[in-house]
Amino acid sequence: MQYAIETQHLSRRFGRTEAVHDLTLNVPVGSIFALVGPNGAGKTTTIKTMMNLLAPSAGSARVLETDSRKIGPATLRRIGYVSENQDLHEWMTVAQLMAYCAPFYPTWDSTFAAALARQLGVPLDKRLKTCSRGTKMKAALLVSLAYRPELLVMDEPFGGLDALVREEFSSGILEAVGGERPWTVFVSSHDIDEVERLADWVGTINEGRLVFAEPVSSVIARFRQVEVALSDAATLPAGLPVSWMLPEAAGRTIRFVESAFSDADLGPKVRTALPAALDITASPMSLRQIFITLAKTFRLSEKRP
Amino acid sequence: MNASKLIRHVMWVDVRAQRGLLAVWGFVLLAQAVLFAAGPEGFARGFARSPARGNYDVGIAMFRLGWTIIVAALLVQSDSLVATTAFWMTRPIPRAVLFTAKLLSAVLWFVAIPIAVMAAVLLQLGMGPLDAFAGAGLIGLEQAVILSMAIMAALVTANIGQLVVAGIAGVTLVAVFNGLLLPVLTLAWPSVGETLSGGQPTVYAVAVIAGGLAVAAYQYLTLRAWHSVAMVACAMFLATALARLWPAPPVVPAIGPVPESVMSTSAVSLDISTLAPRIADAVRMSQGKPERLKKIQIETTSAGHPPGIYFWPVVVSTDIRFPSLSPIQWSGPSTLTQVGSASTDREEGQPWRSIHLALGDVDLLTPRPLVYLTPIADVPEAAFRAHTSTPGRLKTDITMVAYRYEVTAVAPLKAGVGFGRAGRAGRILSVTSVNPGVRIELRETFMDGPPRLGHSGLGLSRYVLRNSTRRQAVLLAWRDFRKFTGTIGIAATVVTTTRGVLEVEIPPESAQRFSVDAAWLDDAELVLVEPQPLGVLTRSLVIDHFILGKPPAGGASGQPDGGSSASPLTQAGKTSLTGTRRRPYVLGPLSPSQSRPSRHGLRTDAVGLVRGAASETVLPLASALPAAMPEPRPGGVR
Repeated sequence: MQYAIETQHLSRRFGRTEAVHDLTLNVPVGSIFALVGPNGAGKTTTIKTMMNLLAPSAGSARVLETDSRKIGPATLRRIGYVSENQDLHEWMTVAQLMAYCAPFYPTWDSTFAAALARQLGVPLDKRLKTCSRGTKMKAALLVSLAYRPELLVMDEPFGGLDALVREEFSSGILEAVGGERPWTVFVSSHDIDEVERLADWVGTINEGRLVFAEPVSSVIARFRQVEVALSDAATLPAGLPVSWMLPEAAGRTIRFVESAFSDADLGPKVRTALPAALDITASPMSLRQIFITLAKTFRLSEKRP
Repeated sequence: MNASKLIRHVMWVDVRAQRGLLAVWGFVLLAQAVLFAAGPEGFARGFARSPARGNYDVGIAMFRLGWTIIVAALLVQSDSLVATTAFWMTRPIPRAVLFTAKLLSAVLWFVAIPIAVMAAVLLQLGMGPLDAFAGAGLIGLEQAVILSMAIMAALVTANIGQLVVAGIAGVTLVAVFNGLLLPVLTLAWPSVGETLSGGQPTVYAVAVIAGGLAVAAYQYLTLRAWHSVAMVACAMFLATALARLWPAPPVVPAIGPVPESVMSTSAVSLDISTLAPRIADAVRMSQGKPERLKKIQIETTSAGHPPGIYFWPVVVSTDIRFPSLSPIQWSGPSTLTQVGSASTDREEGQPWRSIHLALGDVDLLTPRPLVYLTPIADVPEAAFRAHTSTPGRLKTDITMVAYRYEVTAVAPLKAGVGFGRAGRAGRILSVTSVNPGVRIELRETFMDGPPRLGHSGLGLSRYVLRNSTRRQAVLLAWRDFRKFTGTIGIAATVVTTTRGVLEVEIPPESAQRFSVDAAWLDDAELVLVEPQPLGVLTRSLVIDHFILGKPPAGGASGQPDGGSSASPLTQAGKTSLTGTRRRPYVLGPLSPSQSRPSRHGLRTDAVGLVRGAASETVLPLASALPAAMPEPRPGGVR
């Protein structure tokens, strides 16, 4: 498998704080990879390190087969970058921003840019400083797609956007990447709904550490909301399997999230841990439910001494 | 798109981004150009004459430099080199392209255009092309220095707020380094550049520009901000150190001693007049604090040289030895002070004879002789007071420059006529006959280039009215004089334009020789005479039993380089003097402000530092002296 982004034991420190720790991650070419995690998890630092905006403290990153420390104009011509923190030239109109960017890209497609502008509903003659946050993000997306990059990197592109703008934004991305040539998209976000809609790969990061990274289908396949009916009043025994997340007992029922679901293994596993189990129900989970579970788990683990 | 097109693309985008600020910049340049072209009082006669006038020309120059800092910083920071949120960093913009574009934009807007504007103004004012561009280059140098500082600060800061903080930190560091008061307080002072450099301003300027270029190239190509901060600190430190350590321009050695073909120097002697030494109060800044001094001055006269040549002390080195006390040693420039007119006619030490000879065969009305004092030592007040009446042995070496006046420009006495020589252009604005005499309004522009001995020292270029038909001439004196500076002294020299009024006074006894009436003026011409240096000469004076406060017990001897005699010092003042410092008092180079006319109208002249023996190095600061400074009004003519 070819990877658009590869990191090997990537770490980045700011003084005593380690924002990213030993991150090893592979983003397959052609995938739409979502890196999700709570605020401060290290998503932005990871992206800035990959984009050579920050130097790694340890480890390495390769983007489009180029070491991140050596990313220069030649590689940047193949990468689109959209970030909520990016300083756009706000004195410009959207059209001026396009005119500014175009000469730097030999592959700039003015027709495509115009079509994107129409599709995204971006007012070309409006100064960016008078535009809403959503319009600015769409303008940034526009000048990051118009040259048909091989890799589109987006850092929290949905933050602060209303539902309609998010919809337009996501549609714009999906239409752009769904062309003749497969593009790779790497997006960091904590907007699970948009991630679920966009991504086919997902990675979770917490406190600078990658929890997992795998296809969305795989994640959805291995997470189940499990409810176990017991023969008598339920108490949570010690030594539950580590793959059971957020276990709780109520009356004669114990609920938990199985993060390593297997249709064949679940029954024996439950009966081993809970001998009084009478009935076992495993329900599929949405990506949103999965990440809420993960977030709660992270929070609990943070509170533990 | 190739690199040159990308560079032009970025430059054009920057112009559009800063168009409002650049429009103001253009207005500032235009305002300064128009005001300089109009000259002092050109627009605001009443304002210019008012007590609140202040240095509005300096204010404009300061605003020009301040605006340069703001706009140049924004030019750099609009594509920040320190923020990881900068748009350009994720775009395929080659760093070399960005660096080149920013540098070219900065140089074009803040150096090249000001040079072009100022050159046009100077050409319009009658300066020759070379002088015009040299003078405009001084503005360019000022701009380049400030631009370099602004860029260095902007390279490592993300916004104007941070730039201000960095600037304050930098200025504070410089102040600490120099051991001076915060230079922030001195920003309003015209010679801020010299204050910051503490030495040779031009060396400082060039070093700062070179440092700025190096730091900018490094930061643009590597984006290593902390390295660049260290480089900025090193660049400023090196610039200051270089400026301080750079030797003073060797002007006098370039002139050399007075050649024997000009005159027999062995016959030249230096005398002390019968006037008592004068003790004057003075204050100098020492390690940032004012130090009160007693300035000991004597009048010297030279003799034994041809009548067309006169001598002017420029550097003094004094050593006073006492049997039981520490010696006083001092060397410094001879900042001559005119104290009035002599009561008797004499030609020694006077320029009139030289001017007379330069004008040719005419009858010249000249003022009464003037009296100048030569400082021989500056002594701290505490040491001065501590001294008792202990007699000592005074030995002072006085280095003088020999001058001869020459005619450098002649113009018919008509309104609108221009005249000039290299580095100086003038125009007669009006000629008004008064009874008796004439009133001539002049507009002049000066570009003080490298030190020119010929226009300093006694240093006074003089205007003379000459009627060759009648073979008569009369010296003119300034009645009113105002100036407008185009530069503030970051470069070692300044570009100045002046407006002044010349008049001649005809006392009743002289009016009998000839009358300057309308008929006389019809054939008259305005003649500019200026002293030309011939060489330097050092003489020593020795006074035994030297006591301030008592008449000397012994005589004084003046020896040509250790040779002949001088007249005795008949009175040595009322205060005794002794020295408590073992180290000699050494002065640094004079700032231009030290060589300007005092508010009382007395003219002082200035020379540079002598290191070691008096005959080693002498630097008249001609560069600091606009050649047509108004002279003190003579007491009259004879």
